[in-house]
Amino acid sequence: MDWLAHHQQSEAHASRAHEHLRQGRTQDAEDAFRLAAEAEEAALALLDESKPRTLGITAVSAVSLWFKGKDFVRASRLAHRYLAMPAINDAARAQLDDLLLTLYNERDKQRMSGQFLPGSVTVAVRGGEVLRGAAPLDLIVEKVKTLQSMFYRVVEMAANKPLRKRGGPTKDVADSFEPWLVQEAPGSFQFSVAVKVNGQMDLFDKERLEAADIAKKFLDVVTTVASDSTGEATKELIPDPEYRATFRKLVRNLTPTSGSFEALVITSKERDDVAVAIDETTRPRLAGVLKAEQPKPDEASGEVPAELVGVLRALDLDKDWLKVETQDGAQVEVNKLSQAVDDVIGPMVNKRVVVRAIKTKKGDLRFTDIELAED
Amino acid sequence: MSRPLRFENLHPRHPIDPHQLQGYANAAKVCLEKHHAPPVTFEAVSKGETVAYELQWQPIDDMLRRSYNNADDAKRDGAYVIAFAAVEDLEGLVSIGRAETKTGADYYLAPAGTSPEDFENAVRLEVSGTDGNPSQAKTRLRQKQQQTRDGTGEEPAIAAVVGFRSKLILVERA
Repeated sequence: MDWLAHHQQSEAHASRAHEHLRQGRTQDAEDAFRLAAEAEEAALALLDESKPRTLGITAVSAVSLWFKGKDFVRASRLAHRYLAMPAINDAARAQLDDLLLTLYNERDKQRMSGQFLPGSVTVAVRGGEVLRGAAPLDLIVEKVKTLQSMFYRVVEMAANKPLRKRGGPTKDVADSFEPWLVQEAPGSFQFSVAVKVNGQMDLFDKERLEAADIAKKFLDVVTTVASDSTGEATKELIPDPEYRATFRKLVRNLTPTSGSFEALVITSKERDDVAVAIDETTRPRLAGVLKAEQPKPDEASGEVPAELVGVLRALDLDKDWLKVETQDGAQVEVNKLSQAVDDVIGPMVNKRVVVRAIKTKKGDLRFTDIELAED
Repeated sequence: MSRPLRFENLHPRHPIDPHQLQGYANAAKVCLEKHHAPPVTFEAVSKGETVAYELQWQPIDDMLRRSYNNADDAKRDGAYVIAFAAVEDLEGLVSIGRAETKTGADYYLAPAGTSPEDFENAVRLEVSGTDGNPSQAKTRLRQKQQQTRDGTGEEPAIAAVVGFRSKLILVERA
């Protein structure tokens, strides 16, 4: 067989592997990827240094296929062999380096496996100002805090705790389930969130919450909330209306507003079938379902809906008010923040927001919702 | 006056796996039918010029719709085949090979008739599909061009964005 025959055989196996992945047949996909890798490596062996670009592209392809087939030893051996060849061009060299980093990370994670609960979620922030392996600190800190809030709230909801509106998680939750940030090889800017095993976990009521299910529950909540345009699937998964609204608002806080990034993609290595991209389409989808469940103005008593755009300058959840500075410099007070929880609204201080309220006949504004304004 | 853009049956003009091409065409039909009924006119914008294309397809059934229920995968795959067809018509380039990457796959383009054994002068194609509005599609193209330049240095590349809802095909050199 010549190069082309091996390469086409590899393409056909890889095509089948991707089809298996689409159908959720992970094991069959890995088997097909290994067959594709075998064929691509056979094609690679027939190339010489007179075609350096073809050589580099084929080497990257073969290593990637071994990686996707979960044969990390063959993947790293092949990557090292071709990185040692001077003929490999810069673009292929960068991709082989990146693949090796990923392989090292996978090896490190295997070493750490006893210290973390099974299941982790990988978060990739892509596009906009985000570079390969680097991103604005503000952006990442804000998203990580929102993810942490969601994580704790998933634990609390699963443990049948009432919705917490103020302050951090209770000591039993914080002591038992500690989310950790685990670095990933750069593709865009990405990291994983894993759950550190803690001796205190035994104190938690295991009958009500299986610790190993946290990542699964987290993913179920995020994927359902982000993709559900009618709101029905979310209602089924999260029957409590307060938790439901809070999760929707937290997911909305993850959506892009200013062009600093294009999408936040959440995946799980343990669940190939689950992936959610929170992008420009997510916010309008959430707007419809959130609006449907918000309090409506009592038109009979002269109430009307109101919307303010400005900078959130001050906030006192205990005294039940917030102040927005509008474009003309006026500070407008909005009261009755019973709908607000602090980890949803807190990160918006000093940012441009849209506040929705009900204006009473007397002219007072009663809070219904707040979100970051789009630039 | 629009001209037809045939995104099905690209094999053997595009000498890559025919099953993969058929899968991409199915994904494209699912994405198109989410917003439009056939035929529909798309505008392709490349190098400052606009070309109107008529896209035609057989209505899909529930089985096909269910098979491509992952919207992100369907948009990516559907965009591939529409980009292949558009770039062939606009630039005279056909896809000659697929190469795996860590997270997906790259496609390489070359003038029709080029040997698929030779990637030496091939152009890499970066594709993205979106259901966003025209402004979001243009932003996506700029981001794709930047990412392509960041990722490959001096390697020749084309970025393409297919706006399924906005009926746009944007094609530019990265």
